[in-house]
Order: sequence, then structure tokens, then C-alpha cells
Amino acid sequence: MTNHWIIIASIYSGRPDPRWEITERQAEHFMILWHKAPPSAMDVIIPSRSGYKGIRILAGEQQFLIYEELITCIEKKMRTSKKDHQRTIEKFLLNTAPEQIHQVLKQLNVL
Amino acid sequence: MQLRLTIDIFSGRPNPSLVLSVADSKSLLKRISFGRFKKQTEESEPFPSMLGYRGIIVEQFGKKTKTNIFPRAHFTIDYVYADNLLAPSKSLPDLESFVFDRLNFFEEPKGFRSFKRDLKRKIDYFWEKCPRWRDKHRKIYPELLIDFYKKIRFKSCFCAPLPDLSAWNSNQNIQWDNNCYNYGTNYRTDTYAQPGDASGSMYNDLSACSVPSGNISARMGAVSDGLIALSSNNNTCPYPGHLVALVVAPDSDYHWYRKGRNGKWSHKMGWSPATLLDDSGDPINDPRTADRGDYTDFCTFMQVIHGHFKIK
Repeated sequence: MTNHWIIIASIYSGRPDPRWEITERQAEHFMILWHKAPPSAMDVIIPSRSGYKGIRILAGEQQFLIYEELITCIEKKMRTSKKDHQRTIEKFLLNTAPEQIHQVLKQLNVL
Repeated sequence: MQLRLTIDIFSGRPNPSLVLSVADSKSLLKRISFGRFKKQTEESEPFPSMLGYRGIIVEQFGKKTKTNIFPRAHFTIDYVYADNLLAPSKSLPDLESFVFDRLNFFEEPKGFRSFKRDLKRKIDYFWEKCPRWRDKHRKIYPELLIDFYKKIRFKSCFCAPLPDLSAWNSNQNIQWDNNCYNYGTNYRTDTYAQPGDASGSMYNDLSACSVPSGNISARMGAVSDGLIALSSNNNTCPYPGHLVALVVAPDSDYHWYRKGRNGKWSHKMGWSPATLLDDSGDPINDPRTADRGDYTDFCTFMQVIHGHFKIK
């Protein structure tokens, strides 16, 4: 497992989206949630809209996309998708955001 | 004869439904009325293909009744649809109250705890939004279809980029690493370009379109990159180059739209796919009047001349 887990909350249209790093323990907890999640036949679709558009996780060769109760893992062009019931995993990750980003997410009603 | 009621509300998952007892089925049939069925044509009232609640489906099975109802009839506002036919009907409110009287007998959809609570709100929303949707559909859809397929003879903005949504949307890396500024200027950098970054004068104040002296707005950053502000432009194509529009979500973000060769506007929101529609799902004829969500401040139209600007 990679040491660096970067979380990107997709919010903006022009300026760079807020990003932060999660700890090893948080990453382990995320992986437990990911393994427990039931499979989904549908992949995450990134919406063409303004405002919050989900989360992107950069973890070495793996990338995860999370939006609307779905998670898609992309690794070497292979996609695996799972369900994120009641946005449990998404909320867990958003709550790891530093205080300043947390405030922005609250203002945008993401949290 | 028995009836099954289905609340038509979901798009992917199965809709909640309830099989009625024979007595309840008879009681419901007395509440339903409709006019003469006619074949659906292009002129017919379209079925409201909206997201969320869309009406109630009544299906009959078992021994046929004398009442001339189709095996599967979809009741929505003012009409009932069945087998490519439609008939006027004002029965939906009665059906809805019938459903609410028996809502506890419907199985709660999995993972949707507040379904019953939300249903009333969704029904109210549908009654409010559906007439406007139909009106809009009637007005714009045929024209949109013709426009979508027609060959462009007269190019209203002949220096503008070709319609190339797929060039930005079909490759994951291109889509994710280019934002509205890249798309607006039609300049792929794969760096999530920022106004003013290439020219050493990147914006530092997004509070509004105009910022206090000493600060740098997104507009100033773009001008520094080589875009030309057209303060008096009224949505007309410049020559040479193409037209873009800058808007700001105060204290939050900026956004760009671009006018295409056929005169239609499009945009790309961050790492999202580029699109022709605004936040309400409408085509964008003028970014000043489009539904822009939080991007409330319209700043200016600007001119982009290929080879005369640099972004990064």
C-alpha cells in the first residue's frame, strides 16, 4: 500500500480543488470500508455541473472516484465499482479534511 | 381482477409497488376516469421524462374487468399513457391520495429510510415543475433535435472552435487535467490552467469581477495572459478569434464559457465533461441569462485569438 494518500474534493470549476493527505491509519480504515462495500454494476459518473462533484483519491497507481453513493477504483485502466450506502465512505473521507477545507465543505452543504 | 399500483419515482432501481386486494382494486377502479385514447404523435403531450416522481402506474392482472383500462396504464398530470396511446385524465390526485392512505403497506425501498417522508415533497415538486418542463419541451425540443443534426452552412462564428466535446471528454487524462479556462480558450495544457499564471500575474482575489486596487482579479489575470476584454460586447462573435465569457462565484471560484462555431455556448466545469447545457439542463444561448448556480457575477465577454495568448 502506498504511503501517500491524497484526497481531492471536486468543488471548483476554474481554480484548483482543495486537496489534503490522509494518515496511514485513515487510509487503512478506508481500505477496510472499500473491501466491505458491496459491488456495483455502475461506475461513478462525474457530473457536468457547478458546485460539488465528488471526491478523487490518488493512491500510487490506484485512483478512486466517489460520488452519489458509488465508488470506482481505477488501476491500470481497470475499473472496479462498489456501492457507498448513505455516503458512509464519502463522509468519512470528507471529515478527514483540515479545518479550513472542512469549513468550505460545510458552506457548500457538502457536509 | 386485481390491480398493482406502482409509484414511478426511480430511474435505475425498482419502483415501490403494492398489489391491492380485490375489494381495494374495485374501489380504486371507481376513482379512475379518463377520456378517449388516441395514438401518440409528435404533436401529443410528451410523457414527462423527468428525474424523480413521474406519476402512478396501474396494472391489472387476473380476470379482465368491464372497465376499459389497459393492462398497464401510467397516470400522470392531465394524461394517462398506455401502449403508445394517451388519453386525458384528471385522476392522478385521486390516485395519489389512494396511495397515501396505504403508504404503510408499500415496502420501503432499501437504503432509502426517508422515502415515505420524502414522497410528499417529491410529488409537490413534480406538480410544480412538470407544467414548466412540458412547456419547455414543447418549445425547444424539436428545434434542438433539428439543430443537433443539421449541417452547418452559415458559420455564425467561423473562427471559433469546432464542436469537439468528445475531444475533451473521451480521454480520462484530458478531461481531468483541463478545466474551464483550458476549454474556454481551447488550449489543452493538462495543467488545470489558471488565469495569469503563465504571465506571472495570477489572480489573487475572487471576491468579485472588479477588485480593490493592488489586487488581481481573474479578469486581470486573463488579460495578462493575452485575452482581450470586450466590455461592450453583446454576445456577438469577434473577428478574429472566438468569444468567451467570464463569471465569478464571489469569494469562491471563477468559470468560463465559450461560444462555438455554430453560435452555441458550451463549458467545462473543472474536471467534469464539457457540456452544452446549463445547471437547469437548458441549452445556453447567452451565459448572462443561463442558470449558473453559485456563479452569480457575470464579469465580461472576452476575445481569444489563437497564437496571441499563453496559458499554463
